[in-house]
Amino acid sequence: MFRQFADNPLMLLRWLLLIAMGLIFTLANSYFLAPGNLYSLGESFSLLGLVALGLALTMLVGEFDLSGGAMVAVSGLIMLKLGESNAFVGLAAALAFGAGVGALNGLLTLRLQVSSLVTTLGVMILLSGFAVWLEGGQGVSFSNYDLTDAFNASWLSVLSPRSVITIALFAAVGVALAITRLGRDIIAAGSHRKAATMSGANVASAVLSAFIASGLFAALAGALLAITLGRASSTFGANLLLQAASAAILGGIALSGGVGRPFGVAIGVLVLCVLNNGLGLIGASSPVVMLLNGAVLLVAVLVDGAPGQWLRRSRAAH
Amino acid sequence: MKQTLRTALGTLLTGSLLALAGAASAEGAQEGKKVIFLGADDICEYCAVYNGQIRKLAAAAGIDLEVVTNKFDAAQQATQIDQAIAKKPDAILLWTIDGTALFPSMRKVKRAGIPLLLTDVQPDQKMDDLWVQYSGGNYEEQGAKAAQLMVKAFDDKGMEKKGGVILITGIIGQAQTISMTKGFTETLAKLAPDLTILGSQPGNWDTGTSTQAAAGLFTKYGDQIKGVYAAEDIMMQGVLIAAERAGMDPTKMAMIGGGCEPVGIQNIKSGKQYGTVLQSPVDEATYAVQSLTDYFNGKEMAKSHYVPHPMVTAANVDQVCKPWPKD
Amino acid sequence: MSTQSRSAPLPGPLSGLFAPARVQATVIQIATVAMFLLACLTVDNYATASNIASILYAASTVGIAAVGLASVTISGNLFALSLGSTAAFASIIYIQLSGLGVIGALLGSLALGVVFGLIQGIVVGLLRCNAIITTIAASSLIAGLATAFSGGRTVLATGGPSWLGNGAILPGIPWQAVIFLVVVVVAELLLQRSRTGWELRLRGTNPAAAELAGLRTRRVVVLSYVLAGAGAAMAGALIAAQSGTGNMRVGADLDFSAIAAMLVGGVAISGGRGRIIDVAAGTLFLAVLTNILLVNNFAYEVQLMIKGLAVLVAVTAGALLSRKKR
Repeated sequence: MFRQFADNPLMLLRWLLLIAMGLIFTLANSYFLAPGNLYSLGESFSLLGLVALGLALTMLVGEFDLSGGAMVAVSGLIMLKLGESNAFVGLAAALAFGAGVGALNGLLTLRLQVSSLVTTLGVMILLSGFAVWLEGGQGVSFSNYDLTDAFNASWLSVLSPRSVITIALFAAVGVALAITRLGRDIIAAGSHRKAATMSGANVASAVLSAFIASGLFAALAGALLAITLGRASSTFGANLLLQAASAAILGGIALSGGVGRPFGVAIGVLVLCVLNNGLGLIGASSPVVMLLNGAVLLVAVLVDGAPGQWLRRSRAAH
Repeated sequence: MKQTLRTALGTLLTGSLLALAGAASAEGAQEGKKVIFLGADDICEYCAVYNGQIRKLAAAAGIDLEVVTNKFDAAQQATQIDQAIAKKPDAILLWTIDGTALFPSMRKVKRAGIPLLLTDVQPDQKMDDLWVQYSGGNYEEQGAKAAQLMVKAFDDKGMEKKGGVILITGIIGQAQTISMTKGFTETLAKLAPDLTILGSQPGNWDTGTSTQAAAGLFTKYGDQIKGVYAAEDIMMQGVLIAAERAGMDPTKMAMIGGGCEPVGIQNIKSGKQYGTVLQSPVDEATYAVQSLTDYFNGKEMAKSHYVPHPMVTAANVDQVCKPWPKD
Repeated sequence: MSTQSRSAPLPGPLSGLFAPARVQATVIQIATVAMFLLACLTVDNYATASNIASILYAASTVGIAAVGLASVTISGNLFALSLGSTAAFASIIYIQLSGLGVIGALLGSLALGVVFGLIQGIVVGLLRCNAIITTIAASSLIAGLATAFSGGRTVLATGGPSWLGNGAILPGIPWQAVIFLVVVVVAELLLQRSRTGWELRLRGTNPAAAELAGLRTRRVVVLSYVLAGAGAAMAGALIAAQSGTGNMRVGADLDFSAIAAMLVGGVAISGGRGRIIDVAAGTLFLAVLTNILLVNNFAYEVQLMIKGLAVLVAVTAGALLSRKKR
């Protein structure tokens, strides 16, 4: 097992950061491990995790979906606008919209052979405008407080409906990538597009599925957020994209594709959430929060880059 | 007789001692109380001043205040409330990033039995059984006062109250933007029915964005625009630049800003901006700490306690607007 | 991926303009002019000096940042996300240094941008770290430093606007637009005619081959980030000069605006393709489009949706027009 860490310094770093931060924050404030605080950690994990998981899938096939953050805002608005009388209708509509936009992203990328960075950027701007249009200047609210209370419930003191759904999805995606044909195609398509096509992998399905999943998961995150807050606004999800990208890459997903797994992404998400949760707990000032977020990412990036490789090579030489 | 006198004196003495003791505790009960303040990030200047002030004032009152900020992200604030509840403070002071989005969290706070005091953003008052008191700005009133100022500007400059005005608003979807726009448009319609709002664009609390937005409207409507309401002085700064570039003379127009910020004071004194409506972060922070102190000392508390929003023009700018403290 | 088209070549000098590699850029340039002319005919006061100046002010700041960004993209490192925070910090520094006069303050802000760019360039170019995450990390670090430095406050310049903020060389042509033009010309010459520029473009086309060929790829990458940092800092300084204020909200949408301008103009995100002229064209296209939308008082949501569509349509059209026939 330790050989695994030696071969993959980024993974070692993730775990080290997580454990170190956990210890530091527990020492700084004993409430860090309080059930109420772990519950709140689960909530932020759920929001960032779903978006990061979807983004990670698109990165695995060698693409990139920039529209996740904007999708969170739009799907929340759809959820509440159509779900006022029947929440299931709203949820179904939001998820269908997410899957549909994901399919659009996938098709544009496949047919046009233009980088997905470009197409999803355009879609992102479109969605932002759509969100502002949907909210009609007022934002949309939900008065079904029984439902919001249900989603704000705590199970076993630390879990919530959202965190359970997120953990389940991470597990499901992890299993799917490992054992299903589609999963293997996704990874093959990312590792080497041409070779994958020649060896018979269904690259088009893989790419399309990745984008549909990305749209779907972001929509789910947005819908769940809206039910939990009882509110949807075009301002939601603004910070999510960059954080999701950081979490995915911190989690070992390579930008070039084909490398990394959902479990790594979960740890990456957890690292960022623990960092911000802990800083919020000790009441750190905003410059400190920004500096530390930047520092953690910088360390991760250095470990993943040449300094980390140098470490690996010097180990291998022994 | 002597016995009665002694008893009477004794009672009187005990009574006064008790009264004094009671008065003393009713004044110092906030000392040592743990309060968690959930506010907005320093990236917003007003918020930065507020945060600095509230730390100082709380310390002076002996309150153990912890300040937790968020990047204008309602989801983040909701998780911060969960964290705060876990720490079991004596009270929570909340600056809601989005009043409505935080209702489920406020319900959690109530169920946890922690008193909740609100500052700066007042959510829908239908739900006011969730909080003890709201203290701070009244954004709708600010918008209304801005409309009054605009009408006053027209009168002072001898302009007929006919023609067009434009609005440069804050970020669309934010509670403050919605309230200020509502207050302004409703009051203007009442006071000057012949003044039409030709156009409204968001300035996003940013000078550059406001310059571009105002420039576009000046191109389209030109001389038809007799006045501009920019919800914040920093945005009015952008409007003034656009106006001058378009060859218009701001001193002959009704330029109304908001907040009485340092840049607004400068522009009012130079005559380019007619007026602004005060919202002082120092006032808000003071009221918030007062609100906490009153609560802990068991005083009677009104549901809302608004900070003053005096209208400011060149005549009273020095008396009304104090420079924002640097800490 | 071959870029050869099998359609009949167009006659004469036009064939170069509509060659697959250039067609998107050319179409955008034509579209910009067409939009502008249409607006002049249909909107009152459109061709006035003040409106044209307004377009140019908006284009100059985003454009200079986009030119710097383009050197990162063309050299193969996708894009940088630290432009916004660099611009914010630079705007604050510019105002703080305004006592030194326009040139002094400008040089001070540029120095800031160069230093931050250099650090990112070293991390990406010499230490071979992930380009995008490095710039995300840098963005956070720079924003943290700037917030600590400024306390979140807006800094106000004393005295009136300078020639940089307000002045024009001709009615309707502000000095900032002249600076934009100079930057574009210098960068275009650097990229197209100098050895360094050639190495930068080659690295973008095929990083592995460029290295094997012995090109100074690492130096070129560091340079690209220095240019990006300088471009962002100059944009921040110009914004500050216009308004006489500097704060953390400057440059808030600069990152994605610069990326959009660059992509619409025809620079390929994968690297190696595109010219600085294209970046300028894309910037002007979006600036004219935004101006038309604002002048017609379109609702904010409509503006966003149209801009998003414009990006999609531009890159889609570019991709379709430059594809090989199957």
